[in-house]
Amino acid sequence: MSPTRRALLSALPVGALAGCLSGAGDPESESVQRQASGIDSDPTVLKVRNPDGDSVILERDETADESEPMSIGRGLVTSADQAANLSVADGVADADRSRVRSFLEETDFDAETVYVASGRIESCERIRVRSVSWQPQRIEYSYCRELRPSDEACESETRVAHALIFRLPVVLERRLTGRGSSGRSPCRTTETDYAVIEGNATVPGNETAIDEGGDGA
Amino acid sequence: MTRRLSRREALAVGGAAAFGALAGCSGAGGEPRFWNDPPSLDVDAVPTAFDASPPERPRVVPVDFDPGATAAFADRVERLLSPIPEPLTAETLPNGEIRKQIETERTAAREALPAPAASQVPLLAAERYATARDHAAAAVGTWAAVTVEGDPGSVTATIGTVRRRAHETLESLPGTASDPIAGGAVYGPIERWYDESRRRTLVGGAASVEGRADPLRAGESVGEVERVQSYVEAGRYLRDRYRASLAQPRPVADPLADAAERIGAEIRDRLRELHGGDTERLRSNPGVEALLDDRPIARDAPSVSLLSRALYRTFEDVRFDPIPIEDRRPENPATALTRTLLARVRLRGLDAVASLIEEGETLFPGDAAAVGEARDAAIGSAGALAASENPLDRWLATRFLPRFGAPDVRLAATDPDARDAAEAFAEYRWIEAIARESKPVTTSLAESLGS
Repeated sequence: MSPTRRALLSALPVGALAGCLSGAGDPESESVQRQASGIDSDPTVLKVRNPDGDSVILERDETADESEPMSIGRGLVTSADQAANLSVADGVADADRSRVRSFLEETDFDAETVYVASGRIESCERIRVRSVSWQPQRIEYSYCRELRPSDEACESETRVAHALIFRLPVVLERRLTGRGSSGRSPCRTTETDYAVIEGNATVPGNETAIDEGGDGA
Repeated sequence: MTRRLSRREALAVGGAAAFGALAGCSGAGGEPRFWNDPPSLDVDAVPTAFDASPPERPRVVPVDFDPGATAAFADRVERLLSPIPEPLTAETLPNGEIRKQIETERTAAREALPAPAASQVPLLAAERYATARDHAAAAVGTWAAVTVEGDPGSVTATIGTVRRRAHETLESLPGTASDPIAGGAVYGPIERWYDESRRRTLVGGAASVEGRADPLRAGESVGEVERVQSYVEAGRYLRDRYRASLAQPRPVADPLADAAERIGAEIRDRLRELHGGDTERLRSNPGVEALLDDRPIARDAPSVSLLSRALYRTFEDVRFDPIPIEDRRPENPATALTRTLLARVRLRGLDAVASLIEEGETLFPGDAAAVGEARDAAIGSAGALAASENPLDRWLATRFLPRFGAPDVRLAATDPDARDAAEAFAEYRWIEAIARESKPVTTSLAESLGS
């Protein structure tokens, strides 16, 4: 699909899009509508943080020359051309910059859409995405937050910029009228192995102070 | 109360809508707000510091921890802390959140531990040992959860073992006493440690160390288990020393349970009045309006706000405390008696404040000096309770004296305003009221027990 055609389709409301493809009253139009809705309980998602800045992913306004790139709050990336207008903010680690670039380059915009959700997170926490769902003009994801591993350097009581970059297995139009997220903290369970620090943790003596064994009421 | 009763009955029949119409001032959108146009007060003249301090926490248990026991509790705290590197650097533990919890808990443990030479009443000492051991165990439990060889579950006895020890200790109480009043005061707070831990700390999956998802919560769970273990040891120690000190020990369980039931019946009657005869929800908060026939002042006046706060606090406890308002013999008679006594006194205090409101009292200080005078009156009233011969008076004082903290801090803050002064004034008046209302209840109780 050429960018021109994609841009044209982006401008059309989803109802019009469905109508173009299937025709009003056609039973298949409902099927197309269903295809535009879905949920992925194991989504492909890239997590990037910026410990030294207020943003992670920036976008330059393609209609304005020489414009300063703006931070993406929550939005869709629906074409390779749009992806080419994205940049990574100063302060993001070089390895993460490469991962973002590769992630975008590897996205097939004829079959997939990228959703960027930016925010702030405690330096010592990380997000586990549980699912992402979409319907025309609306994206939601659910998540939980958990403590980062013991051997990862982070600062207490410090919040950093953070972005989740989802790859959705569906072509969506760019315009969003609804977006949301729901989550809990901390996660109920974790697969993180926190016991990775070398050191003694054995308390000497027995488990009581004055009551030998603590028994005998 | 006759006038109120008839009103309760009317409410019970007519429902909330009828009440709104009767009250006249309760639901009107145009009701004047007290704080829209408060009386004038020279805020700069309101005292922010005071020469007189509230009385020290009085003694209710007539035996102490001996130096050997005191040293053993301190030793346990230091043993718990000993494996943790000091200082704990980012090189050793890069995750700052985990590092902060360990350091914070370690500091709190040492701060909570009484100084070796400090003379503290035994229940306060026991509470501080428990707090210190809780923090120390939380520190090392967190550390154990991040070390390769560590095991948070091995820091303390298992939760099942500690639960059983707490249960066995509770079952052994109340022990013998010199008389029922003394027995209630000595054993009531000790029973309460285990009753609370059985109902709150040691229940459910949240109590399990293994079930905690990360080192922070694993450490907190270890601390909670250690706290209960500390209370088990302290309670048994004080129980045994107290029993050994008695010249003529008497069993007191039955008289305590009887007394709790008598006061519980009074409470039940009052709760029925407050709920308009609805016996299904006696332990729930009936709301401010249930105490008032007339409210000739705005609903945001300091006196009404005080009544609302005091009601909330009272019914938060009434809801879960072992107050025998149903036809069921109390399981733990000493804690049942003390908690029932406290509820009765608070309900009398609520009635006293409600009466003031019906007389048009806003509890806004008449002038700046009134704040200090209210505090002095509260200290006098609470001080008399703390110095009473009756150990249950002294126990009640231990519940009321901490209430000076919030208003004192509020006045000491930078630039207290009229609302700070008014709410501090109201809190002092509340302390004075509940301390004053205590004496008739405990005197009647002592007479009924022949003490």
